[in-house]
Amino acid sequence: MESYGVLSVVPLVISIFLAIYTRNIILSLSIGAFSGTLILNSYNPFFAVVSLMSDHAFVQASTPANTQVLFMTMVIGGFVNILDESGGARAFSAAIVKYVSTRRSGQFATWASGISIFFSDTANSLVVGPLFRPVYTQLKICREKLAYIIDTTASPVVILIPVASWGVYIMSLIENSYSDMGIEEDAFSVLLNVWPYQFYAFLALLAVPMVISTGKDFGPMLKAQKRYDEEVKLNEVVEAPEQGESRLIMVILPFAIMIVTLGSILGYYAFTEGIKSVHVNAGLCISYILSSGGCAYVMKRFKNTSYDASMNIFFVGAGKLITVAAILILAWVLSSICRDLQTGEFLASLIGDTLDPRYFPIVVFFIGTIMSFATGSSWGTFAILMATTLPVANILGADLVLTIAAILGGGLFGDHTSPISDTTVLASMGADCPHINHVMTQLPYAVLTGIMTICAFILLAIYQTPYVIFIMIVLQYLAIRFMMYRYGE
Amino acid sequence: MESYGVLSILPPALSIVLAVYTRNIIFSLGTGAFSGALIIANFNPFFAFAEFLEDHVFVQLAIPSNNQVMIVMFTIGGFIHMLDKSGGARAFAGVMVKFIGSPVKAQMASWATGLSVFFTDSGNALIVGPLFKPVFRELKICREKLAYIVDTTAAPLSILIPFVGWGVYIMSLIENAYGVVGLEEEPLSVLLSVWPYQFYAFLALISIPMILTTGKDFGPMARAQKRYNQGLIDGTIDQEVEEVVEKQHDPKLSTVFLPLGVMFATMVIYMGYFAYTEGVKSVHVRAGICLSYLFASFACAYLMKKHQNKPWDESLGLFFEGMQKLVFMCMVLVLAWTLSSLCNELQTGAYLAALIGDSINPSFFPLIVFFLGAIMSFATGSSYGTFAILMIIVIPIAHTLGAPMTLTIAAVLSGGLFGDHTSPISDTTVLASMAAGCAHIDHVSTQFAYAAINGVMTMLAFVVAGFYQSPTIILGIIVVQFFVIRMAMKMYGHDARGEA
Repeated sequence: MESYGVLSVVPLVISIFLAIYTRNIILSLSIGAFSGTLILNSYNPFFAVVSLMSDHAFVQASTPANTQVLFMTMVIGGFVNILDESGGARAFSAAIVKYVSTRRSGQFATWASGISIFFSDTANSLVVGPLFRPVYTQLKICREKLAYIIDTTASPVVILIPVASWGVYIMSLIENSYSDMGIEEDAFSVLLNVWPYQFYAFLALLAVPMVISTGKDFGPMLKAQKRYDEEVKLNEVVEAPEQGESRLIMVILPFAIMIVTLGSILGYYAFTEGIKSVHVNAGLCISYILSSGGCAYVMKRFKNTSYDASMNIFFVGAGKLITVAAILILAWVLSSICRDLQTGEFLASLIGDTLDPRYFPIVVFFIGTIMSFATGSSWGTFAILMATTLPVANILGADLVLTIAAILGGGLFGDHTSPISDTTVLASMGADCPHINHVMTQLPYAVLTGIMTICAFILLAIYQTPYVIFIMIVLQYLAIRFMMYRYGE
Repeated sequence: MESYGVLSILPPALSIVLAVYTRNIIFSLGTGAFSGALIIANFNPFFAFAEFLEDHVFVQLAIPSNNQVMIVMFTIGGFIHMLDKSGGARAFAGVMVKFIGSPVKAQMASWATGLSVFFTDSGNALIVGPLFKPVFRELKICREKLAYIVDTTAAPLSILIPFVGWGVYIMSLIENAYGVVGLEEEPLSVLLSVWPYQFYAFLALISIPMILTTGKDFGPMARAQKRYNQGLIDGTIDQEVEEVVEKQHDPKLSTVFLPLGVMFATMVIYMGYFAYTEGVKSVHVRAGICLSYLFASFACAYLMKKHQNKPWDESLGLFFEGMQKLVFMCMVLVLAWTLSSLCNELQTGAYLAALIGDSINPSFFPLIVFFLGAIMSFATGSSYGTFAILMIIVIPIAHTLGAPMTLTIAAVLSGGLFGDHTSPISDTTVLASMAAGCAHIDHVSTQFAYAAINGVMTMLAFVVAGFYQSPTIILGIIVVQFFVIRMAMKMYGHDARGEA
């Protein structure tokens, strides 16, 4: 195959640059992909378009693994929507609210319900936020704190659950990159290996109770709380009216169905032919479809919603994920074009001799953070980096598991702090506080976690063990205590 | 392969019964397909699920042609929605209103406008209806007539155009069924050979000017017109102030012409190139359609940016909104493919064909299919659900019986269309009454008399075509229809406008 040299990074550079500049991930990925096929077809636009469609888009979209992911994304979208509409998700949180009386326990309850809604990132903000708003008003805690907690318990939780949408997405990216590099390994087991190294996710999740337990705040959050106290003194905030009653059964039934189905299917295969990713996909689909059926039944029973209406709700939810599906396809296309252009080989040859492979994950973490912060899309970052840095890591001899962990950590960190990330926007929306306030108050807490994550990767470069995470947790605890002691009130 | 005997007809039978009973096509297809998986898995529900998803749904999804069809469908959905929101189509239709003088001309104009808005079926009613409502009121023509015209120029027109959503959908069903029986033919060429036999679509479209030129009405439509006149005199109807058609941005005509021009140009260049080099394969057709619509959407977004100052991001959002609308239809497709692949494994077609055996003359087969299609579509109100189920069943049977294949496919399409057109629960029928602003039941009953004439003519055509298959039949039947309508008008019709 012909070598394209520096041209091989053009699609990637264009994608990243456009993503930062236009903040439109779909446009950026497609223009990047088109520039790639232009290069591959000696700048003949006609053949570039033909090959973009026939050789890349159509081919990538019809790989069995990819179609399964697309199908599943839709099914999950449908399920989340129907659960949301049934009021089940609200019932779930409402059960927790019963035991709340103090500021501290109120925040702990938010954290716990945020974690309990582990299956979706966006539902988290939209369900927990509105539910806890009246509680926060009563307990006189500022909305920025609520936004911070729901934002932090959104993506970092979902990324740790391999069976939720994020896990599925990440696995597909891993599978894609691994097969490009000719490595035969089940994506699910790779993800499990990566799991203990997802420092940012763990640290961000644990930072919340650490911060709450001090009962203090520092920096912008402190100011926000003070400002809020002032406001409360001036005028009583009107309480939001209670929404329609929702029963606990609305969430217990669907989840029971889901867990039983998934458990029995995966259990069966675990004992017979082993859990392949097609079984995971099929199992997930069935579980989500059956529990959507459960939701529909509950809605019919308690709310008298007809089955037809429930099915419509399901399809509306599935439709909402069309954009995600389009991003997925474009990301696959870009990665298949980069494969043809041998981008990974080229980048590796650049970094090749200059970098100690042990420090490669740290570099990747930085790149991931910058990209994700700039684009506001952790998924887009994952897609681009998985396709490009993994081959480099492979050639350099850097640890693949750590590199994946660094991609995930960086992407998550950037996304968490980015003002243009949709999860950040949703968190401000859910908590009903000005978006810029949420971004500013969250930043110091998130940066603290980010620094800890970098320390973790440095530690790992020297001494690799899954136990690093425990050292980091202790370190972070001390750091937060110190900050609160020094600057907190 | 094991023979499943009578059990093999359970999945399609269950699908049909459930479709009629629940009117929920997804549920019916899904349950039918699952019952097939149950039979194959010896009634072990656990293995049936695995079989259903892993061996059929996932496999069907990953077949390149199926997958491409879905991408094409989504792209078309995105473009149509965007064009709709750009207001260009409305501006375009607005031009037609200018050429109106007499009542007959006004009705002809609404027909012509309906024809020119060929790229969307539901959009047709929504664009043409509100636009002509004031015109019809001015000329004292009843709303039922408008509903009839917009309803008739919606689906019957879309079905005749191979590159809009309907065409892509039907081609995919044909390709699938052909693959099952082992026929190798490009779906586009099949659809084109079926084209002249789409009797119902042609007759329905042509019947409008035939009726209009007489200047008369008969049956329920004449009564509706009288009722309308009476209402006008009594002052009980149409006193409400006509809502002004929204004209926020005053869309320019180019908003519809440029995108459509881009679309045709891309398609012609793309197909032209392949026609001269390696031949137009179906993957080229799909890639070409997909690209044409993408470029057309881009052109549309550009014009909205230029004339209405709509940011690109918003246009992209519109595009995705349109795609969402097609999730449902794509799900029907996926389930139809799945049911078809299960029926193939169960050898349903062979069993049914053996059952029918020599008892019927293959020449009558298309007629039977037409009846089946009409009944099913009338009962379910869904023409594309009917297409999905019937194509799977009848194509293999026709293949085994040796019945004329193009006629059978045409009969599925015509039957489905006829049932859908007359069905009170079909969404296109509902949309037409909504858009024309008349009571739904009135629209259904007034339209029925006219649609029934077309239906009878179509049956006649299928009988003739069964024995003497020639594309010229359609011309003969049009002439017959012309005389039938003239005669009906002469005997029962009168110009009811102005009468009370």
